[in-house]
Amino acid sequence: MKVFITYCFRVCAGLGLAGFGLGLLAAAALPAQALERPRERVVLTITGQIGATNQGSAAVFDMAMLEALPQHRFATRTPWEQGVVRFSGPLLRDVLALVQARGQRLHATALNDYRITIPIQDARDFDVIIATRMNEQPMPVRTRGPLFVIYPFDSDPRLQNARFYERSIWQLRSIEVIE
Amino acid sequence: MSLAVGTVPSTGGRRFGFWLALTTFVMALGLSVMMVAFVRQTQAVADTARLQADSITALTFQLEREFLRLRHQLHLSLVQPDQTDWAQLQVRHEIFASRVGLLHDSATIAVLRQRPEFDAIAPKIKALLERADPLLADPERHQPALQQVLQEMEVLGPEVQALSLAANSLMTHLMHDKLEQVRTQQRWINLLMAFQVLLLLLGPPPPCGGGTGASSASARSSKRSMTRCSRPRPPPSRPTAPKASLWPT
Repeated sequence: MKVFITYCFRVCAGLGLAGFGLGLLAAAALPAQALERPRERVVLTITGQIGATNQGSAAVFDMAMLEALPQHRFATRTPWEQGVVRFSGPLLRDVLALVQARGQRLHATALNDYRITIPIQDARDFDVIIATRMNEQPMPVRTRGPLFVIYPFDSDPRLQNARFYERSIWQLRSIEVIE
Repeated sequence: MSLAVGTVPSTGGRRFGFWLALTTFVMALGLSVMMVAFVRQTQAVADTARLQADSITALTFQLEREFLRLRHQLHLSLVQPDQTDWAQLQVRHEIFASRVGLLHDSATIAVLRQRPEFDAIAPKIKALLERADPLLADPERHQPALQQVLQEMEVLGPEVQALSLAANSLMTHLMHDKLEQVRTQQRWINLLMAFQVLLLLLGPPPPCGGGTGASSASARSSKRSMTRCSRPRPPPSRPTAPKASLWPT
């Protein structure tokens, strides 16, 4: 009996240590993966109240970095396209978690200097994505790319509102996290 | 005995009074609700018109803005090619192209397509883009040709601005028409409600006397009529003996 108990204790201790080690590895690997320096042209710059950076006080991403993150997909109608369109890209809340955003609001700015304020609560309440693809295709600037903050409008009637349409900023260039 | 019977209002009178009170209450409530609903409707229509105006004017404003920014950037690039960020010029061109795309594809802007200003400028912008696209794929190599594009843009400037002004003017008229429509509707609603209130005041038929209400001229007379009918009826006259006079005649 004593031998059996000792054996169980050792197994449990071993599993616990292994789990702890794996957890440490995962925790170390995630920021390292996300905040490596971009190898291609920077498409998104995040500044402000963030805890993780990879270029001065900013976190910058190229397209490959964004597409390496877990991708979320949905189909929705929008006021700007005919019919249902499929979008895919990382969840906004995942990107914010990655850069350790601490604020309450986001100032999102487009290539044409359009700027809109997005409450961070939106990222928690809805599956908002930073779309990198529309109908499985990369989006050039000409078709409102390369990045498009998009809400799953068809999934919730509350989203079919001018307030959320305004927040769906296309040709996204930068995000500033503010209090 | 006959006196006791006379003090109780007749069944028809009580029923009429109850009906009248109920009808008045229900109609007043209904009218109040209707009024609130219409006021809100008016507000909603006005808001919608404003939103629509913002959308169309914003689209043309953004188009004009990007047109001017591209023209300026192109001018600078051709004046100082050595210091030019050609990639930035290409991005500027793509942004302008995206605005042109919205001008042609957006459902919001459909009403603007009926304006002559739109007919005047839209095909020219499209043609300009088609000429500029291959040149801006490699702008550094096509500087002389881009000089021609710049000259075309200089010529198109006033027409692009005219489109913005046309959008403003169109939206002003559309909003004015919509608001006028709402005001007319509101006037009709007011008239209707006034008529209903008047009908309520004049309408109640007298509860007794064999009339059907047509003879009632006013609420006051109706009220008098009700009061009269509710009043205890005098007992039927009975032959009485002449009172004895206290004074000798």
